[in-house]
Amino acid sequence: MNIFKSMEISASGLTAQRQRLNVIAENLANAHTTRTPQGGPYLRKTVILETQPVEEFASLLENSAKVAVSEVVESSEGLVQEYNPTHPDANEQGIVTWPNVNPVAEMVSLVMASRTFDANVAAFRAGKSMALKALEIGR
Amino acid sequence: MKVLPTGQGEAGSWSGQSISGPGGPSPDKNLFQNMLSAVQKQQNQADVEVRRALLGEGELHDAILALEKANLGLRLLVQVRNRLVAAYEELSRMQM
Repeated sequence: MNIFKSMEISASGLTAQRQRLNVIAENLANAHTTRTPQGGPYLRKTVILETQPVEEFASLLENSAKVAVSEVVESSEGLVQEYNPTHPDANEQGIVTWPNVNPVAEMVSLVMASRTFDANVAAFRAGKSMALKALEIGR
Repeated sequence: MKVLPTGQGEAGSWSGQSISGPGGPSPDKNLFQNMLSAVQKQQNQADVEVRRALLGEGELHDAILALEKANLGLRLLVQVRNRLVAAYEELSRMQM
């Protein structure tokens, strides 16, 4: 049914923002992690979003698109170096490399993810109330 | 949370037979039963989503969204049923 299309789009937005929240939580939790299975400090992760057609074989005329997480990329830019020879993970020069997670930037992303989630809920609610009003037309 | 299939449901107060009237099976009954099975499918889907969310396999909002879809579908079905009953009552009051 067509009334569910806007709901599907909102649902995809909700799912995408949840996954973004997961990645932000991971970044914040690992803001001071110096050991990873790959060696070296934890690297900040970012979510890349992409569009996705609502229907499997959507026509080009009616190109409403959902959102989906395309990939989660790691960035190794801006790793913080600190001189601390007493740290077990310091190298021969006594330099410890800390993750490139900036808690302030992560909190901003967190608020944005939360607000975008709210916006998707609002869009869903609007679609629902429109459908309910449409049912009341004949009353 | 479960709509019994028509014909065998003792709890189904609005089964297809009660609506189609004395004229035997009509295309309306077919339409209504199609809608009924579609709504039941939505409710089963909602059940599955809720179970998945409670087991920690699915997302919470997916469960709520499936429930909302089932809710809207049921409301539409009830409206269609109201119209059918109103039309039947209108015809039954007709003077011959």
